[in-house]
Amino acid sequence: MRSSAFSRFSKLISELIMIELENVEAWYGASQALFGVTFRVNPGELVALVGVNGAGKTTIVRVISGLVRSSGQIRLDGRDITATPAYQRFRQGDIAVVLEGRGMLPELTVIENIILGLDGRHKDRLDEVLELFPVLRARHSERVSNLSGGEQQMVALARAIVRRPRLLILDEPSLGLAPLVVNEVYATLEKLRAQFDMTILLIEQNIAMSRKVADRLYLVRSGRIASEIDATDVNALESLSQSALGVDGNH
Amino acid sequence: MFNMQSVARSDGRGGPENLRHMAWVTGGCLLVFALPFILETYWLYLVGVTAVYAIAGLGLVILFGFTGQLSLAHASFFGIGAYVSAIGGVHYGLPGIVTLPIAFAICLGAGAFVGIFALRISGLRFALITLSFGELFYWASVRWSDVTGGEQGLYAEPLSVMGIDFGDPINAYFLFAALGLLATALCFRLRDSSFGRAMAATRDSELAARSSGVSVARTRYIAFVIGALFSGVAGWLFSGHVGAISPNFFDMFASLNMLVAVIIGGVKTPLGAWVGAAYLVFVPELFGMAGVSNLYPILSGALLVLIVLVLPVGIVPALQQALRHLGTSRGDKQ
Repeated sequence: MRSSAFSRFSKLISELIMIELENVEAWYGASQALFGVTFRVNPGELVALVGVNGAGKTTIVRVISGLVRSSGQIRLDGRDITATPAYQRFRQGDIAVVLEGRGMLPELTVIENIILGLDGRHKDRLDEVLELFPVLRARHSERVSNLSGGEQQMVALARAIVRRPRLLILDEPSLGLAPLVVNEVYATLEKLRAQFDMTILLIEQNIAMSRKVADRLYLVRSGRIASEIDATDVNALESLSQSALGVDGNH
Repeated sequence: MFNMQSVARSDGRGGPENLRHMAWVTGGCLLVFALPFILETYWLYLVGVTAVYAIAGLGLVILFGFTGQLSLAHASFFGIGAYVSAIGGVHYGLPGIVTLPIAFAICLGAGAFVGIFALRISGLRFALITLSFGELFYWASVRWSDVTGGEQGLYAEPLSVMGIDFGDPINAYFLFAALGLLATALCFRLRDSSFGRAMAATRDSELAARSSGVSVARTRYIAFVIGALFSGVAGWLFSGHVGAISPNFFDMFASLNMLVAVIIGGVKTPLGAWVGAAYLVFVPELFGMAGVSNLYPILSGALLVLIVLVLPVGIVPALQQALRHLGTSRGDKQ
């Protein structure tokens, strides 16, 4: 009786957490990159991991994606996915990731890049996604290498959301883009969140941009989660920007 | 609703280009039917050999061009098909219709076995594994002389399927042309399928592939097995057409020659396999006709260097690019 109540309670708690990393450590060969990383993202939240280059943000994405050797526990919707192979984590459609550098396949067209690895039965979603990106609809049959950086970022986003993931991970979506394009990417992100009720994990160096869209931020430093900040806590954000990253929070 | 069937490429591979493609295909078919009336028997025979090598080359296009996986044992699978056809006919009196499925099954098994290594390793390390298999096959074909005829090789019966004698050059030509075109169509179809996209992702960005739910290991494995099957079927056709086989046709240099041929033709396009095959068959022949066969190894090497320097993407993609530029500049003038 008591154990049944406990399991119901555990289930309830797990339903309130979309993804949870507990005491995760990761290595590149013999070199340890993450040290006891623990954090969670709740359903419907947009959480940003911020930190300087080399802090371990992208390694966290790779650990969640199953692309790097790691220990500890990764739970998605309460399920332990630590041992699940990378491609299966994505095939099941629970997670989608927009890779740093966008992961474009230059010899394929825009559409072919978007539907890469997509199950035939889900291709009706393509129409819905192209509604969000009219520029991609107009240039759907062009090789993706002909597109600008901003348009390629749209392709990467479209490829991720066409799977209707429960958790969308974006690894530095503003990297290498002009400020106007970055604004456009972030506007799309907010539109996506509203339209699809997605949980989003955003990896960013740009605190000023992340604080505009995120509910919470985690500061990643030297492979560890150094602090957790509520996005509405202006003082904490200012202090984070100046002390942790050495920049003005508005820039 | 966005129609997936309308997914088209603007690089001359679909959509508005379809009419032009239809014209090319119609022209190609007319040429196939016209050739027997134009060419002498010997040249027709060489066109048949070209089609055979093109089918084998298509296997390499799938494996190397589409998936980025290097094999140095492609000629060994070609050899398996050729030996099964020859041994079945000479030693057991089996007709081609029986030896074909046997060759297919053995190539499938051998490809599936060697391909297991592709599940764990890739690139040059995998190429070395295939090289070992190729050497093992060569050694077996020399040493198992009771069956294979050793270094002397075997005479092979001309192909005969359902009463049609493919020892006749015109019959053989039509069979090889039909199978070559079928293999080419299959290759194009594969390239444009979801598996084709998975192969491209495996070749260009493993990270993008994995994060899109593509199993890189499985894609490499399947591509290797498909490549082995193309080569095996080509080998089966080869022995019946040429009439005699020996281990030299299937050694490491034969594998390298096939690789060089598809690189010259254009390794990322099925049409490159045809141009590569034509290079393999006709260039030595032209040297022979000019009475300078002994210069072939030197001059063909120089030719290879020249092609790689001037047309690094291969002859077919370079021609396609030139045609596109021509079309664009015409459009600009108008």
